[in-house]
Amino acid sequence: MRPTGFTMTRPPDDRKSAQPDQPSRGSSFLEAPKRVVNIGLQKFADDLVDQGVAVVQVDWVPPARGNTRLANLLSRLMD
Amino acid sequence: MREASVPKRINAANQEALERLFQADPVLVDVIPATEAIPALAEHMILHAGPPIAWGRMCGPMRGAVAGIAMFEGWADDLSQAEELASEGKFAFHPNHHFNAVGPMTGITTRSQPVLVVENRAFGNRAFCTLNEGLGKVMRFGGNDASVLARLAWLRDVLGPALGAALRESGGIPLKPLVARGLTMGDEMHQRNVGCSSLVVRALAPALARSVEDHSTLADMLAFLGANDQFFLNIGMTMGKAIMDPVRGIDAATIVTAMSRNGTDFGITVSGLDDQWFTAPVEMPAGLYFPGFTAADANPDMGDSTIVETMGLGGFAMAAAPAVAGFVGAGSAAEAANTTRTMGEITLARNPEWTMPSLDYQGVPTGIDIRLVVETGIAPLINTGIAHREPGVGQVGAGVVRAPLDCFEKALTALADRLEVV
Repeated sequence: MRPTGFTMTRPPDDRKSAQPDQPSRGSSFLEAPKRVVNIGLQKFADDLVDQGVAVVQVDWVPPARGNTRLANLLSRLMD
Repeated sequence: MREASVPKRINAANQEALERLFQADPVLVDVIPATEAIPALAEHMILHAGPPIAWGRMCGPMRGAVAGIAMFEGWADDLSQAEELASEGKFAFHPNHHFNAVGPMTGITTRSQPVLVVENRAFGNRAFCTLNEGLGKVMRFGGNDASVLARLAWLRDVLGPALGAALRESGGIPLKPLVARGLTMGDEMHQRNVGCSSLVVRALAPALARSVEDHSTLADMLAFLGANDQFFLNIGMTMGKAIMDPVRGIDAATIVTAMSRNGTDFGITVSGLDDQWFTAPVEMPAGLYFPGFTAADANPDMGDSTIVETMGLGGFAMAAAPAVAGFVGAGSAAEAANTTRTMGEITLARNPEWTMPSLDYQGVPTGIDIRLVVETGIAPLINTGIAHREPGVGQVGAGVVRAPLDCFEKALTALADRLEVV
């Protein structure tokens, strides 16, 4: 199912981790600057931004608002 | 019908619906008494906005307009007698949509009111709507005092006949190119009609000057038209009805043919589901209020004007009208553009003739598909005026409101039943 929109959010410039385009100097994944794609709940993205992480938020909700009966009908009515 | 072929059947039906929608050739041709336009419009019969509703469930402004129009038509001596007659079942209430008509807000249409006539020359059908009364205390917002009735009488006796004569003399005004120009002038045709209203006056002024002999009367008409930024709204609505009516009744098509509200219920009709209404409680607009009024004064969503969004204008064309985004409290120009992009998620096409400069001349998103609305959970966004919840007060603000998703979910279930998909 399709996402319904995108929002790119970068952390404030004075955060150390606000340099997602810089090559990682650390050797491990955990030390590298994080760049996150968050799908769905906005709160997860907001919390990461507060910690200085660059986030692309994908506005996504379950098809038919999670109504499985309607989602099943849709699967038969759409290509 | 084997189930596997259902999506292809729907796609073919929707293609036919879009072709009819885009082939439309709406022309404003006349202004005539409603009883001539709609011969079935009998004495004591009142057409209203939205899906069917009885007196007992009508909201305050709708009741106020009913009482006022009963006095205007000579069916009651005063407002209290009119309300008594209504409660006794003496008036027959029907939706405008059942008579090829539409009406803004309360949408009241009765025999003697003048109506705009838009002819869709590609299909030969006609649609009707009353004249816009201007702003402030007006019947479409539930106003019903002596000033409201006097203005209705002037529209009936003076302006209506003159506009009709001017339109007949000029041969009519083709509306598609006019709307295309309006979109480049900052109109979205629901809450901003400054450009199109001006273009109409410019087109009609010469013929009006030739047909109206008394200069003072002509000056009054031009002053009324020139002071009414929303005069084109009713023309645009009539155009919308004329465009969407030929899209009705295409077997298996999932495109919405009307969205409408009566202040109590929101209703939609869908091409492949005949003219059945799918309804849900109306929502409350979020917006800005005139000085002295607050959200506590507001009536829930109301009017047939959502035919504008149904054909891809209004909230769907918000990107073309950044000025209105501020007026209705919908945010910045960038947010207006995002609104239009989001409406593109629930529509099947972009109108190649109605384009928006601010989006690099993309067409307005057109052809609301109930499947896409249900799948994404994105409800159509509507720009709207806000009426006071009490009868007789009038407009108190403007804002945006969403169509209830329940309408689309009910329609989808009915379509699945119709197509024997379980």
